[in-house]
Amino acid sequence: MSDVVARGLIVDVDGEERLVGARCEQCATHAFPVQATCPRCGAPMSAVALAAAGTLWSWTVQRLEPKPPYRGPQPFEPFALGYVDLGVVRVESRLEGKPESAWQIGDPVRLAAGPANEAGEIWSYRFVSDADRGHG
Amino acid sequence: MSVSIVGVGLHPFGRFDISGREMGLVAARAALADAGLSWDEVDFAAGGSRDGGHADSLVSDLGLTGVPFVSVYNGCGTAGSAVHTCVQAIEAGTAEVALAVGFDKHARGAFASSAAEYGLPDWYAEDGMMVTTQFFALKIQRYLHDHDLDPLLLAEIAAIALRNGSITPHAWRRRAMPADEIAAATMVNDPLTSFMFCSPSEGGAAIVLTSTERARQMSARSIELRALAFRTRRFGTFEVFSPWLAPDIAAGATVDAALAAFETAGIGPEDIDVAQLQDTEAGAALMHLAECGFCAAGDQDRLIRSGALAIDGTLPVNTDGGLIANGEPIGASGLRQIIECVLQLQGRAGDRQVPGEPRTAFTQVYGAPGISVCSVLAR
Repeated sequence: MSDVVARGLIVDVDGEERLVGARCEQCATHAFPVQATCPRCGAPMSAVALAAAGTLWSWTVQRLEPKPPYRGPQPFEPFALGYVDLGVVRVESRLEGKPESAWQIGDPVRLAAGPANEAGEIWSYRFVSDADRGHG
Repeated sequence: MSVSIVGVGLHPFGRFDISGREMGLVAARAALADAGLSWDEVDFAAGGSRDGGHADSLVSDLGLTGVPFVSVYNGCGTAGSAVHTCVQAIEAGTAEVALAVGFDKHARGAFASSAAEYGLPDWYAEDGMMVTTQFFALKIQRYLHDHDLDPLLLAEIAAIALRNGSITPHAWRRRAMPADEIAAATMVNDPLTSFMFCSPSEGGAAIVLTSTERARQMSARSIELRALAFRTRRFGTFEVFSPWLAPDIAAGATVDAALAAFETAGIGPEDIDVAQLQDTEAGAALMHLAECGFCAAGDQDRLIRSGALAIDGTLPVNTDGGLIANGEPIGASGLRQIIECVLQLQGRAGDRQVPGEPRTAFTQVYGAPGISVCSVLAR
C-alpha cells in the first residue's frame, strides 16, 4: 500500500491501518484528509490517526458510472458509499462487504485498504462491513 | 429596502439551437421592453453564466454605451449574485436603472467537477466520490431517517413540480407524472430516482431594477423587492464535495439567508402567498421548505399531503415547475424564480396563476458549496 501511504491517507498503528486526519491545535476540530489550517478557526492543524472502526451515518448507491476523472474498476459495477461516523469526524468512503442496496444507517464498519490501480499501487481506502461487532 | 422590479424577460428553458449568449440577449431585450426602457437608459448591469459565455460581452450586441457591467459567478447561486450586485448599486446611489441577466447552455448529464478547483485531492474524484447527485442522496437519506419521513414524499413533491411544469409555456419538461410513476423510475442514487432530479439545461432570464420611488412613477404594476439576503455557509454545514463532515451538523446558508430576508422585509413565512424554492432534486425541495421557515423539519408530510403546495393551495410552491420541470441553466435559474414571482404578483401567470391576487412572494436559490440567496417580493 505504498501509494496511499505516500499520499498520507493511511498510517500503520501497531499493525492496524488507520486513516490520517488533522486535529486543530487550538480548538480540537478534526478534518479529513490532512489540511494545514483549521476550517473553523484558522489555527494550525497537525496529523492524527483516526479510529479504525465506526458506524454508518448515511449511505447511497452510485448506479451510473461517474464521468472522468473517475478511474475505478472496469467494467463499472454500481457501488455503495456513505459517511462513516468515527466520533471526532465523519469520513466519506466507498463501502464493501454487503450487497450495495443492503446497507442501513447504524451499520458497523471497519477500515480496509482499497483496491489497486493499474500500476499495482493501492490508491484509496474502503470501509467494509464489520458485522461481527454488531449494532451499538 | 427601496428597490423595485419594473421589467422581466425570459428565454424559454430547455434545449435549443442558439447559443447561451443569444438566449441572454433575448431575455435582456424582453426585460427592457417589458419595462418600457431602452438599453442606453441602463446605467448599471450584472450578469453571469457558467458555460454560455462571458455575461459582460452582451454589450457588443446590446450597444457599447460604456455602462459598468459586472460579471459574477457563484455556482447555482449565480443569478442571485447578479441581482444582489444590482441591488447594492441602486441602494448605494451609484445606479438608477440596473439590468440583471443570466443565461447558460450546459452539456447533457450531471456536471463534471474538477477536484483541484474545489481544493480537493485528485483521488476524491478518481475514486468516484465527487458526484453531485451522490451528495443529494446522502443528505436526504439522513434527513428522512432523522425526521422519520416517508420516502414516498420525494415522489409526491416532484409530482407537484411536474404538474405545474405541464401548464407552463416556458418550461422544459411538460408532461405531468403521477407520484407512483416517479417513485418507480430508474434509481440514480438511492433514494432518488431519475425524475426526482433536475437536469442541466439551457435558457436565459433578465430583470430591470430601479429605485422604488422611480418605479412608482414609471409603472403602476412594479413589484417591490422588499428584501434580498446573500449568505455563505458556516462551519459544520453538510455541503456537496465534502470528504468529511463535522460531528454536529450546523444549519445551512439557506436558514441564515431566509431569516435575514424575512427580518429585512418585516414579514414572516406565514405571510407569503407564493414561493419558488431551489429543487435541484426532490430532497432539496423537501428540506428547503423547512430551512426557509415554511414548516418545522419533519412536518413536510402535512404540507405536501394537505395540498397546501398546489397552485390553489395555501402555499403554492414552484408554480412554474421549478428546477425539476425547467432544468437548471445555472446563470439564469435564480432569475427565473424571481420572474415567476413577479408574474404571479402582477396576475400575468396565465394557466398557472395563483388565485386570490397574491400580494407577497419568496424566492430561494442555493448553490455549491453552500451559498444561498433569498428574496421577499411584494406588490
